[in-house]
Amino acid sequence: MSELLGLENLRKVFPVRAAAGEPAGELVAVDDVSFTLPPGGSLAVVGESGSGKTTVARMVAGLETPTSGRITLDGEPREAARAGRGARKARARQIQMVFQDPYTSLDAKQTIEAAIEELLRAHFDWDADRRRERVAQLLAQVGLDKRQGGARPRALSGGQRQRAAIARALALEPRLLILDEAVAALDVSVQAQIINLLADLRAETGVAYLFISHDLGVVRQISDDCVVMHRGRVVEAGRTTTVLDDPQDPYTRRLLSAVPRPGWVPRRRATSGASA
Amino acid sequence: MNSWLNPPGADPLVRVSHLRLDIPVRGEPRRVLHDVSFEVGAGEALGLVGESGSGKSMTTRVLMRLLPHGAATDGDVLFDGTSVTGMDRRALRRYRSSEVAMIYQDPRAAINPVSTVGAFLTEALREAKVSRKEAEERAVALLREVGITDAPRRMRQYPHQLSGGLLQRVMIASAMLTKPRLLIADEPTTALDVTTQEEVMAILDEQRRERGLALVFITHDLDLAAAVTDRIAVMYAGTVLETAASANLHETALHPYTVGLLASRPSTVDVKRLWAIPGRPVSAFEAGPGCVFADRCPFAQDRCGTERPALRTVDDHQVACHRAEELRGRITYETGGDADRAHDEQTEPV
Repeated sequence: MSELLGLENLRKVFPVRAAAGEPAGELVAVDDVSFTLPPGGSLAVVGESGSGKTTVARMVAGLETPTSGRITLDGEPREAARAGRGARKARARQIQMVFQDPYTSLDAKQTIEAAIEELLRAHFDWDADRRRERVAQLLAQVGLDKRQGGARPRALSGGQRQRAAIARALALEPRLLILDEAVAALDVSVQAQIINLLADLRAETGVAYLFISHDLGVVRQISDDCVVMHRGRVVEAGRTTTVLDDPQDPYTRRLLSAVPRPGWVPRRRATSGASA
Repeated sequence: MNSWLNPPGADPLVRVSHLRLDIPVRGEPRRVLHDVSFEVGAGEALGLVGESGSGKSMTTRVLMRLLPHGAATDGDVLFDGTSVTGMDRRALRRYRSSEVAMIYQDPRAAINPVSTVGAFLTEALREAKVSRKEAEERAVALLREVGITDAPRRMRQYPHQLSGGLLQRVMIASAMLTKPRLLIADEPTTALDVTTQEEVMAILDEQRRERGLALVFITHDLDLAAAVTDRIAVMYAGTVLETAASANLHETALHPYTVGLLASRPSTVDVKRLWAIPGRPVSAFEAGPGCVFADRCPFAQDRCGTERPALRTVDDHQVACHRAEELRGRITYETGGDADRAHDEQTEPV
């Protein structure tokens, strides 16, 4: 099987400053994580807060440098995070990221069209007409109309802002889109629209998704494969349907059993005074 | 008044009928709640479920009478037969301090960051002239009940030293201390991890049942609400659209919005293209003269756009839909490829 993205024994350790009553030390955020993602595939990294899933995404995006281990794209190792301008631009054309809250990742003073156009201008030697054409095409692709394209983020609803963020991320035709809790903040009815949109866009463009999520229902809809993380380590990996239908690891089982569903009753596990 | 608002037997603990609320926005009154009616019996749990802007949180603000200056209400809000909106200052103070307790989504915003957990928990008791020793003993006992084993140590800690799940349990303990009759929980687990959510909900549910407390539980998660409540009221644009028993809401939902909401939620057990309700949730003030859901409803007819349906009894539900009988059991949401892109969200007015 060909491979777009490969992670080998990835590890990230953060230094921890001394705090009241606690000495300085180290926090192992990601510990020995390996997986591969084929071109056009969709892989979900599932976990709760503190599992290391976002740190994995940030390392793949080049926003953090791994302490050790390797990240490859098309079999080629990724450059260090502090790469030169040219290398950063090249990386931007390969990998783009969509965050949970587009309100903080879009420029409040810029219209959606202007934000996309600026990106195209920075990367391609196109004339204004060609850029305008591409902006219109992108907006149509994510289901935004002309008026919404000319609006600032403040004037759009949460779902529309997320569409705008997706349009901007797709502008450079990346091979990999990292979606970090990209539908988590949306209302249920709007979330369903964006999930469907993401499925359509992958079918149309062949972009691959690295989908970071805590929501097992969303993960099932959007990914082919999944990796379950707990305290920095991968506890289970495989086809999403297999992992969710027949979980082997106790933590995966625990996670699945905690999801509210028809007939579900919340249960108290251990009395925990330990988890501060 | 509708017959369901007057069930035979005792008065309910809470009765909200035809509640309307306007709040001034830049000097102009803006409609926040159109028509909210529900009842909560003593010891009963009611889920108020809706998306953002549905008015579920504002409804609880009216219940607590925590409203901004210039707010205007209409309709009745009765607690044990007494009008909450008509209470004088003394009655209101007594009501808030000993009859109702509230748990919020973000416990860190509801607790004093510079006082210890112990000081926070014993404050209300000390005010009620309980001795320090007894107040502390009661607080420690309660912390143990909510599953905090090293309670004496926790009493000396500050909020920032506790995890979100632990702090929410402290809030539950705090809510139980004054022995209220009604507990209002506004998205108490939304900010928590799913495994922590399960713990906290189990504790909340257990404490509530043991004490026979009535509960108004606000959430956007229908499945979560169904698990811990007796009845669910589905809200949209400042209006209660449907009220039904929690146990079989999935099978019996009558209102097109309720059915749509159930169909949009991605399932953990099966993959299919989601049926997405077109458009975005509207706020109460944006709703037209007819049914507040009409512009997103695939089943809307002319009448739905002009005439607002009242909440009425159909089967054992209360539902605000002109076509409830006619559509009963016939609402299926087909997943249409391009159809859900055709009518997508409309722009929000600024």
